[in-house]
Amino acid sequence: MRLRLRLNRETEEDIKKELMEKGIEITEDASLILTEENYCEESLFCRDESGLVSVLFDEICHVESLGHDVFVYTKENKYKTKMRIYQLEKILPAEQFIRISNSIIIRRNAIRRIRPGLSCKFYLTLINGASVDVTRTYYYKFKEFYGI
Amino acid sequence: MAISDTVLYLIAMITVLVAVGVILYSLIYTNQINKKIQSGKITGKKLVDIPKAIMAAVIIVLLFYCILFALSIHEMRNSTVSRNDLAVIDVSNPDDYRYEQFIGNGLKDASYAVMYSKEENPGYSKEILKDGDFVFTVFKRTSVADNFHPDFLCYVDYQGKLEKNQVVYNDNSIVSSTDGTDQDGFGSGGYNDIHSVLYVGNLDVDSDLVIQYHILDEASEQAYKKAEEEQQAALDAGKYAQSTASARISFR
Repeated sequence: MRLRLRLNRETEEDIKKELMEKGIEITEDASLILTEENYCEESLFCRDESGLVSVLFDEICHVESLGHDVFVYTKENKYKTKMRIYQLEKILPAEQFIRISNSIIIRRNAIRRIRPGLSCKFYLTLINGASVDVTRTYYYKFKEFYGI
Repeated sequence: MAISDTVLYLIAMITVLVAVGVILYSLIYTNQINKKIQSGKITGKKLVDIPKAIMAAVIIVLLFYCILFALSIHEMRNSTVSRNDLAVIDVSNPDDYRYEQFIGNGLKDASYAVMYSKEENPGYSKEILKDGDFVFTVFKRTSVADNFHPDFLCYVDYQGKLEKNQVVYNDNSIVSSTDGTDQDGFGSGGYNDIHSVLYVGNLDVDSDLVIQYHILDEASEQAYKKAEEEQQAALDAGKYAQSTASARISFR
């Protein structure tokens, strides 16, 4: 039997060990999922050259959609995910992440420098060096989020 | 309309100050929001956006301009400073300048209209000449000649009513005071509306200015133009006019 686990970090190891002792294979490819009540996802599964990688939310700087592809950027790496921006917007914790344009979501404390524009825009420099813009549509939501 | 140097200086100063203020505010704003984002604090006073600050600055500056212009215009209208803003009157060289003609709405802007009045002008004698429906209010200088006051002013007003098919022709000529020969002339015409006119100028002792207005109807105007075409020369519109009014200004 193959099982995919969606458990909180505190309980994950113990339950995983117990299931493996009973002969249940724990794998991310399994179609059967065991989810804990009040489970809060803390990572995202993405792909890079090496294969499938779990990227913690805390490591994510920003997410960007380019055409049909969605890329997840950390401080040093770049990953690809099959999820759409609107799906990621729902999964990523609202208090930690904010959408700043139709194609970009950033993490709250990933901003290194912000420069206001003359026409309801902000130009952001993130901690991983990327430059992104807050568009007019998301301008006021961004100001509300950061209290500026 | 001349704007005084003080007003221009104030406008420039206000513009520069506001521009500097906006630039400083944008620097302060950028600094504050960066501090806030780095500290992670959501609470605290929210500063006004830069676009809103710029809009407020533009509105304030425009209000200042409006107030300055209003005060400036009010001052100009009430001013009775005897100063020749045109700076072209030179009594010592009358050949360089004979007269200027200000028509209609230009009177509101002309410096002479601001400085001089149709009622009374210190240093000038007043004479009202009526010819038909035309009234010529002539002011002749009685004070010592200088480079800042013209020899004469003449307001021309029409108190009649032009028919739709009537037009006005204007002939002005400088003639000799002794034998009436023409020394210089100027004519214009074809107006179907008469505005108030102000003549301002200088005259030699032996020269007179003759101002004439001719009213022609359609037929007489056509005859006049035809005659000019046939003879290939400028003709006197008065010979074809239904009525003529004239005034002669002389210092003899």
